[in-house]
Amino acid sequence: MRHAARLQVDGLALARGQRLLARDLSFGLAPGEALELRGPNGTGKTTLLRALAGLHQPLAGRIRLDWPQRTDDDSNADRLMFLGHLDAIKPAEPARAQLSFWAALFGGDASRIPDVAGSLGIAGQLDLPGGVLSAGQRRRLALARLVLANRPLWLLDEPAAPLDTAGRAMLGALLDRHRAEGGMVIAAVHDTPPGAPMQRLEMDTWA
Amino acid sequence: MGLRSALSALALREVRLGWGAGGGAFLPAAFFAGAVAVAPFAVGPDPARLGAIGPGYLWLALALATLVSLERLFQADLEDGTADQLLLTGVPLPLAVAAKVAGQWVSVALPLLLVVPIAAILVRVEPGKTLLLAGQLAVGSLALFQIGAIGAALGAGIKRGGLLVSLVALPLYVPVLIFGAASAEALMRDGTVLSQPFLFVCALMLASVALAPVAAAAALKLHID
Repeated sequence: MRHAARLQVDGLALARGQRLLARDLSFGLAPGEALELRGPNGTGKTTLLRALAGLHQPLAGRIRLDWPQRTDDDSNADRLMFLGHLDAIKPAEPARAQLSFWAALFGGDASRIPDVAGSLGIAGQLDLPGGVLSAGQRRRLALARLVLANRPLWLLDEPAAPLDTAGRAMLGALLDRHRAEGGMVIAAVHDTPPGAPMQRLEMDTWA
Repeated sequence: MGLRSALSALALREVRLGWGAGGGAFLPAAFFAGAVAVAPFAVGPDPARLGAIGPGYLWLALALATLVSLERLFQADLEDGTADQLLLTGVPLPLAVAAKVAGQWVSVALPLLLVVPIAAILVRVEPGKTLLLAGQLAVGSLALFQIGAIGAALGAGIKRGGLLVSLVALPLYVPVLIFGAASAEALMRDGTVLSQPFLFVCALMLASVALAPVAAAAALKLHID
């Protein structure tokens, strides 16, 4: 499936507690484009991602996802995925059951689970409960959820952090394929993210 | 996206997690059994006295047992990021909350209601009426779960908020308890199941099913930022 959504952010102002993190932040992304958020700790990269996901209320500004058949009833949340530090993995439930649960909730295709897990190198871990997975395997499982949901905008908070070299390569391939299908990626990173080069947004410190 | 399949997935997962390893869905049933088992020690083994307070005491034990399971209802989802993901699925949050509570009710109340016939004998309820009493408790437990979900959602962001959840939920339990105990008394007195107090319990249950998920969803959103 080819995605055709585009993102436009205008005059965004973000705050955490009493601290202003960003103001007059404007940028746009077209299908296939990607953006890496850079900046020292505490400059609002996560807050920006959460605001884009609709999980954080910005002080001011406008975030709009547009796609050809968008109606007034549609919300941005229908077209984006967010992957943060919390991976929403239940310790007692097998990985496969977790993926089919999220596929049902995000309207994804559960029959793709073996393929997607294979492409992320966790096909052998599908029957293990979430609690025994390593940090890297958990991240791969969370990435599998992302792929299954099949949505155009991916918001990733340090996606490569717990991944090994092979995992980073898989993530790179994943990002490249998503962009080739017209998807958009915004990733908060500290190192150059794997895959094709991205546009760069430096978060300034206002403190 | 099939909203119905999403909601059933949510409810079924709640049951699966509750009955799975470490899910703790049987704890309230055990708490209920324990609370009823100690009643004769506290009020004395006199059958007449036990029989007089027994049905009302079962309602009290039910209310306290539901509180045991409430603390974790939303807290685990907030802590592990599930709540964030839920908000992005496009499933309206009140409906998602209703599905979760329904699943929780099945996983917790079912084992608890299976204990009721035995527990009822311990407090000298006539054996012929235990199943009818269990039916009344089933309706009441659904109301208690829905109402308790509001407290659970409010306290979800607080570590060790279980006691706080109980403090918020208990006053809201009062109407269900009043009419529940009265309906049990009517059942014991002349065997009427659909007595006026029990119809009030049914009404409270229906109202809470309709309204509590909206309130709980609003409370849950307060914790997401």
